[in-house]
Amino acid sequence: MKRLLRFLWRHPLVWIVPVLTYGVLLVYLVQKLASAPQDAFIYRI
Amino acid sequence: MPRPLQFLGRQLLDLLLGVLVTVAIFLVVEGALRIAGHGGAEVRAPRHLAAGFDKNARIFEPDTEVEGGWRSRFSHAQSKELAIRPKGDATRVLLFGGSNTAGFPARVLQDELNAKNQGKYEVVNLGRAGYGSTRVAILFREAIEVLEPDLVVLYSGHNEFVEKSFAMDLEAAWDNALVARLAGLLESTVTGRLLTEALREEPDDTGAYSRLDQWEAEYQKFEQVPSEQTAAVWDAYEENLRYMCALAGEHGVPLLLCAPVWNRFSAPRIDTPHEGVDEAAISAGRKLLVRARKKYPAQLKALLPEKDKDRVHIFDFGRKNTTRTDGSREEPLPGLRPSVGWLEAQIPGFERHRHWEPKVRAWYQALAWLHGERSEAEAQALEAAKNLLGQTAKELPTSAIVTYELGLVRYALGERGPDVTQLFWRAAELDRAPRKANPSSNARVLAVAADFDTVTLHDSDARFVEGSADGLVGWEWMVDHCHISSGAGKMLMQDFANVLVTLGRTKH
Repeated sequence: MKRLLRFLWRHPLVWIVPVLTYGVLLVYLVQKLASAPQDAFIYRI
Repeated sequence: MPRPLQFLGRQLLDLLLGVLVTVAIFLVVEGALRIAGHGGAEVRAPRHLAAGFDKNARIFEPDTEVEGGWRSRFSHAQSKELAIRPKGDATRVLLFGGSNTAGFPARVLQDELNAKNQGKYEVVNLGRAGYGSTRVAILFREAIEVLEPDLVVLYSGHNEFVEKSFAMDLEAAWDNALVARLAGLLESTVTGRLLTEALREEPDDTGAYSRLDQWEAEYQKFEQVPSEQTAAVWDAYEENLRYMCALAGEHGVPLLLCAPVWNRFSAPRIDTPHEGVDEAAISAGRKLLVRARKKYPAQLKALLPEKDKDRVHIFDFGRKNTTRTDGSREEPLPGLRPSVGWLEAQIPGFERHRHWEPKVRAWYQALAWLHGERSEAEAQALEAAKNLLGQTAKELPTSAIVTYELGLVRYALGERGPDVTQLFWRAAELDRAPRKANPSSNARVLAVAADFDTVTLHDSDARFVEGSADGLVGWEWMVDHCHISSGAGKMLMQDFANVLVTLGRTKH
């Protein structure tokens, strides 16, 4: 455990990349997808 | 190696490892979700992003319960999915188009065909509300390969601007092409779909009226669209029609190509910019129009709603009016002109008007006034309006709205004949963003049909012109700008059957 923590401390990009990807990019994309317009009634008349 | 380079190399390796860790975490989660049974077809369907525009999406997949059968996965709000039986001996007819087609009584067509021929027919309705020719073409390509039709009917042309508007909104939802691409990739994964579903609010599809206020913005999108852009939409429409006709030909499937019926007594939407005239003429024209409108009798004003929410739409007739259970007949409607020719003795399908919204009753009363007699005072006011509109039309010759109102005023004055009919046609043609077929779009249908040996034209619009008083198709057979009534739908199915039965014989 200690060795892992030391590794992560010395190699921050190894954990910063996943944290940023999931914390920012994924959340942003999912939120975009969820709010994309649907083929709602207004387009169907 | 110098120290800075060593440092850079280490950071690059770390970055690569970071990416690998990211991908690994995603794959573990994705794999776990699939193993847990979340990887079904409904999850794979790229439904929200593509919404029917994805050329690579597969809409039909084999029915796991019926060998040789197919199931659709349109994932189209409120539309039912289809279970299509394995292809048998019956002559399979596929119907393609938008909401009109979706509302066609396919069973009536099937029964008509079976009654006319000793063979057996199977009619599958693939009409989808809101679909314009772009999405119809995507569906068409897959269906003709997968469902092995013997005959196809294509009734599309009202939704080119409806579909374009939806495509514009979809495009605007993404900040740029890269984001759209990434979101598309994410949506093709189970993880992405489940996360999206968790955050998505259900669309409010329950009360049409609650959204009618949004419709103004929907039409305003197309204000100031130059006429070349409108023509470009019709060009794309023609191209899509040609694509489908060619595809049907390649598969040896006879195609019945229809020129959709459109309502002459439905006001155009957008007539700006006024092209070829200067600011002074526009200003003068607007002032004249205001003066003319002040002369309109109240009943004429009722036929020219300013807001879209005041227009009559198909759903105002009541969704529950499709079956009458007590067998009674209601009073004849006011406002319906007697039909002529092949439609003379037919019932338009409005006998269930007890379910109508009050605004539909008011609308038909105004129509009764329009088709009826004028009092002397009304005639004088209308004459004055006609003169003012005539001057307005000189200032604003490309205005769809002025042209339409001039036609309506002259009609209200009792004028009939080619001059007046032409004004309604011209007004529809000048509309920059019509929500219905018009002379421009139907001319393209006729041109396309003439270019293909395997295509038979059904000029549905011309058929209803034949059956309508003064050749002006109106609210006798239509329930809004583009939708035909249930009675008209039955008549059209009978008409289709007469043609299809001969095409079926040619094929076998």
